[in-house]
Amino acid sequence: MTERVARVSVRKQFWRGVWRALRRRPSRLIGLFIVLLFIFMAIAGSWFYPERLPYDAENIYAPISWEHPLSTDFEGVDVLALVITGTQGVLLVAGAAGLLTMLIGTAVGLYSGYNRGIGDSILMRIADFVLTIPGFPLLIVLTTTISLGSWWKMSLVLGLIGWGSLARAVRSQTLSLRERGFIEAARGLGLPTRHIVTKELLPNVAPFIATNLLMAVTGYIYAQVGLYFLGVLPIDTSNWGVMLNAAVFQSGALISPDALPYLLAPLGAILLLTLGVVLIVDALEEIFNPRLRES
Amino acid sequence: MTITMVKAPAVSISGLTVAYKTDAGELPAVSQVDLELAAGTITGLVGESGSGKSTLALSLLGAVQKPGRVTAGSVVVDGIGDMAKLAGEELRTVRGAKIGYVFQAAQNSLNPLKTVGKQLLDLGKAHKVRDLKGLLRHAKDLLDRMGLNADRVLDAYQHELSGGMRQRVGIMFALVLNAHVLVLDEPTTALDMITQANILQIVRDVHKEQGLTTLVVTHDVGVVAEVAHKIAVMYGGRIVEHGPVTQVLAEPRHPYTRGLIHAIPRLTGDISAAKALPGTPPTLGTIPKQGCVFRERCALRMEVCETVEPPAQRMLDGRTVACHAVKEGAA
Repeated sequence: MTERVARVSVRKQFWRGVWRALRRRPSRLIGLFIVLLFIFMAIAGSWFYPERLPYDAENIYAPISWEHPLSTDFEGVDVLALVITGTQGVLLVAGAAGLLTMLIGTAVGLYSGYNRGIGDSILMRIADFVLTIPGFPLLIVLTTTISLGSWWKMSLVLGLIGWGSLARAVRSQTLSLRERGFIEAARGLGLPTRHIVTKELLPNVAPFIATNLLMAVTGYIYAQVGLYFLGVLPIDTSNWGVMLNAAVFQSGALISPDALPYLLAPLGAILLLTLGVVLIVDALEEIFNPRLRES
Repeated sequence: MTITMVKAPAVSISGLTVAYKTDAGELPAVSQVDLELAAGTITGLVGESGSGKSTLALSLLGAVQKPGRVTAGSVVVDGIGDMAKLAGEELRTVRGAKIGYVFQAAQNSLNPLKTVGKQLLDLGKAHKVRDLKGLLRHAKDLLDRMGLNADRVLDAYQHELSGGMRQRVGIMFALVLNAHVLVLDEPTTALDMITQANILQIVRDVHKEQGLTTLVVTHDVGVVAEVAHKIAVMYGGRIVEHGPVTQVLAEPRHPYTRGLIHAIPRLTGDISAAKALPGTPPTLGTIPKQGCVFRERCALRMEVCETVEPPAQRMLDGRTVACHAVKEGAA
């Protein structure tokens, strides 16, 4: 067994394990399918629809048909098209904010947990502070002072106020792992600290990071959609939140049954995406832990 | 004895004091220890739990964990220098490469998420081994000699191996980089008798083949009798008796060593002949500040024991004993 062969076989085993973990329960495959579908919609949505969606003022709140499977809105724009083109904005912000959360939370958690000492105390006080900030009200206040319209500003703010709990989770896990025999042995065998943290600790914390991250991402979806729904963000983009806002406040979907599909479609999309994420989280522990992978 | 004294000792510990910072101030877990490990010998370090033997072993690796620190003395390893003074990158490269250490919980010393082979390659890369294939060959060779199926073990995860197998893998990791000093911290704890005998046989064989200097830390006098050439008995952070195994076990001089040996029940004969030492070993906080640390439990207690700490006296037969009641020539 040469080194290359060893590495290749490890990698192959990993992907085989992922596939096996997903196949074990059909629900996980469904979750994967849902999430992949939304990612596809986010990437490919703009290929199928023009910048300005075709509208037909003669055909508002059209009955459900093959042409308009989810009815039309107050301008006669196809609701399905709105849901699909709205995916990109939602996923982009949630994904970017999630990435930021993961980077800050993991780095802070690993550093605090592994090194402890004064740096740990300072970082954890900051994390506690971040945790106590009520996120959503802060966002509303922020929208009045800085424009959160562009996706990267939105992700930045969401990511910066959301890393506290992840950092705490990673830290506590690291604290318990660093006392375990194999970390002690790695130190005794003279492995460099960087290797210990990135190659020995990180993979063991990975399922926690992934689970926390996916949950944070659904939180970001809610927050973003919520802001648009309340109308505190400029509603000139296509976004599920914008649809909800228009459905409730312009179309009166709560009292007019005609406009109901217009309200339910973005709600359904959010629910479906959340469901997909939750179903995938279920498989993560099994993917990362070789012991669970086999049996 | 005299032959080994001519050669430079592989490890020479002198005046070593390791203290832990506690709420009651800095308390020594190891205090004023002098110990020489002659090149090519196996030394057994025995003592009750909390006697400081693991702390002493860790100081050999320069790995005393905070809140502990080496407050005085030196641990000079042949060809490296004073381990207590090394730090950072220097210390890291010495660990594993020059000094092999098998940890107390060797059973849990493997990363649960990686195969043994992967961890071996990690080790090779961390120590900048160019010839990784050669490293693998060496590892396989070691595993084969320890009676394991090398290919299967290298491809296995930690949970796929039994306790004895993991222990052997731990020994392989400690030796694969050709360390010449090997420290085994409780190598046979939590293993059944057959596996114990197996591991000890392996330790003895590998020690001989590789020309190692080995320190076996244990609370099991039987293990020491089985493998070691010399025995060092620790109590309350001091080495109270140190000498050739056969002499010390046959004719212990320090009252603590005697108590320790008399506490072992015999396989044949009257079980009640085994006498437990009265009292309990001191903890970090209750070690007497002055005088002999063992006096509370000692049958030979004298007035001088209260105030003067007994110095380590060298006996005619080559052993050292730290006790006021033991005079040269006395049995």
